[in-house]
Amino acid sequence: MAAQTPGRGGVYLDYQSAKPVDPRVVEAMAPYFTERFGNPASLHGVGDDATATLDSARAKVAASIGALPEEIVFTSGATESSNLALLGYANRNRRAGDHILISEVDHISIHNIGKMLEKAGFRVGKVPPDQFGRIDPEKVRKRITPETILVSVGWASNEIGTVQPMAEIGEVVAGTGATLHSDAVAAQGQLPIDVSRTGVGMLTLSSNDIYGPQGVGALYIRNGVKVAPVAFGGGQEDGLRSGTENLAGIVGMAAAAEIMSRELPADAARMAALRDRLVREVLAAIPDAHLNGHPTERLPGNAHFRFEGVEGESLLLLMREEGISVATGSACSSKTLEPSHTLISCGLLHEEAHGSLEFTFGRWSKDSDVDSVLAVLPGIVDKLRRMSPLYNKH
Amino acid sequence: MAARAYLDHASSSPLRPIALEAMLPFLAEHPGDPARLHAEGRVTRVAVEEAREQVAGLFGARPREVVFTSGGTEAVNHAVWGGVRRAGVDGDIVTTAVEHSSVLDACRRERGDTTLVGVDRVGRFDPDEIIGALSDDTALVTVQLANHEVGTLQPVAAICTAARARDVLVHVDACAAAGHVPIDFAALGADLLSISAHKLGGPKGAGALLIRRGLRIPPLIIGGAQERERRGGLENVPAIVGFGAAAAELSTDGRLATEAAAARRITDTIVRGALAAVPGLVQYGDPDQRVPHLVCLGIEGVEAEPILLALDQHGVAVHSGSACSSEALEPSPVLEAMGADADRSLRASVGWSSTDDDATHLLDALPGIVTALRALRAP
Repeated sequence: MAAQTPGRGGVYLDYQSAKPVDPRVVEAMAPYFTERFGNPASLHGVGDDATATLDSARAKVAASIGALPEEIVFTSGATESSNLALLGYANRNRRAGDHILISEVDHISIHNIGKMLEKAGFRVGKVPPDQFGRIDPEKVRKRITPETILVSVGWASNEIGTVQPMAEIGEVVAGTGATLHSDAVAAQGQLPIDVSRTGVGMLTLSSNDIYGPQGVGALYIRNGVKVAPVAFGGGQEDGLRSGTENLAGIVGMAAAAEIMSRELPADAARMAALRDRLVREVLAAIPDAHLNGHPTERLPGNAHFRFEGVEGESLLLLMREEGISVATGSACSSKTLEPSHTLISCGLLHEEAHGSLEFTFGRWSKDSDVDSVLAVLPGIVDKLRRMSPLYNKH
Repeated sequence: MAARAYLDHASSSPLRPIALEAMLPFLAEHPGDPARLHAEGRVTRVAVEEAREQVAGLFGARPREVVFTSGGTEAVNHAVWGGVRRAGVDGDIVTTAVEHSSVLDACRRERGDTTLVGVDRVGRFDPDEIIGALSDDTALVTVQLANHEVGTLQPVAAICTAARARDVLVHVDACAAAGHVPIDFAALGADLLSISAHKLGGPKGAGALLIRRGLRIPPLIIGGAQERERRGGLENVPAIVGFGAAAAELSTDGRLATEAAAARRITDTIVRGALAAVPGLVQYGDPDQRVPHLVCLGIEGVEAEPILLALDQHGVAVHSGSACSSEALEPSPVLEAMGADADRSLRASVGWSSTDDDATHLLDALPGIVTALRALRAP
């Protein structure tokens, strides 16, 4: 099959689920696949070189979020980072309390980790969002009890793009004795993230979401926050994450973080312009179309629509026929075809949630991608509506 | 300056060119999430499933028995954590004194009363002793296929048979052996088997846990529905593809046997040459029934660290103790369990890219270094 390269082949508007690796990142990684392959734990010269590389990569990733190098633990990806943050923190701090708060609009992995925490005897509360998917800091404040040890709120929704008031939530959690964790994956590369200004104690980071390689991530753990490891072994990453370091992957993540810091303002402005045009023209061209998520407090690369009387799945397949890749629901639930828990939490009915389609822009998105969508989407929605018993009732 | 001789493949092997070539398009061109329905998702889904077949093929498993992980350590931790929970009994874990630190640490986290079975002078455990340690409420047996420090092959088949007969789950840590000796998961009869990709010339950041058909253990990494709900997290597609390509190369044209024969020849040359040139030198581990690519030498009267550093200056990379404890240079628990001098071991290990010149390079440098260090100690 021909490669569907973003910027080269078909129209790829599903940057949220997986991103291509920036060619500059691949270039930075290349030597570490071949001539510089040492294991940092080995004592010989090849190993020394690897240790220096690891230290430098850690410093770069730390700098990109305003952290100190020793506050960064490399993992196999965001999912492992969140496992370490929630399970590792809860197990280590059990004596301080048994109550944990998560947000209803968090990523599915956080919800599944929450179930595991409940099995382990913790009480897990969920903070509901408003109709735009936004978490009100006051609702967090009201749910914090003396037994609350951890509050986890995703920086932004990976589905509907709503950005949370993290600084205000940080202020609410500060001084309660609880630690604030945030899954920042959806926000990375789209919003400036500075841990020194927000009061988060732990932050889940992905490499692929800043155009680095898959299979690498990091957890920021503020100095003083205590976490127990989830996997045991050789004691790498200060005992928190055993296993031979994925050096090429880590170098790639560091290179991606450097590029991201430099190019974020321009990237974000370009994505926002594309998004604004898409939202404006889709809502103008298609009747009974709505924007899900917050009208202004949203990720620059996210446009999430709901079309009355239409199945998102059918939309996705017809868009695919036209060479346009988009998403319905969340990345992790598109296999199960269940309606998105995020949309249901925002108060949508099942059939409304099913009529949703998510467009996400990235570094190589361009005006002609929006042209391609606008050329076919109104016709596809119209065609499906003419077959839909749901829409005929209108 | 002459090229360096890298004799530490057992810590980490360089990436096979065929694996790198297979990976690059998935880094640069194919971004898709394999769970997605669109064309990009289909490309990566097909690639991951092809890699699963390649890995299954090399290890005599069914594709659905292969769960991709972030590496050997995660596979081992998943096996121990999930195996104990699946068993649902309060009994002990039976393992051996010479397991990799990831196995021992994972066991100790689960059970304070982990039973450690000892080994003989070459580092081999007695299957009867392990079988004798099993009780009706034993939660898990975990044994290595080969020792990572001295290379001794272990009698795991008998243990698998006995454990299965008693309905006790058995995990085999094959990280040190995989890709270097033939492994047939179906014939072995293990419930769980751990593999690391980078020790056989695949990429770092990938590994696999083989889970016998019909067995369900809870996932260690919780997330989405990836890997048939056995391992959450977006698949590391490039690394999985590279792992598959490395496995496929080893499965083709008798490559594993050819590489094993070459490894045996080079490591035999190292042992023979070193024993002849350096007085007071011994080989640890079974000289014959061992993995072909790894040998461990003990050098009387000289610490490992100065030898390692001097060899490094001469352009030769070797290792002492286990990879993970080398930074600390603590005495090796494996050698202690064998009753050997735990402070004075050198491990030389080869792989797909090694040549006879690497052995020559080591043998040229070693005698002079040992003589010089011993002279420093002379009264």
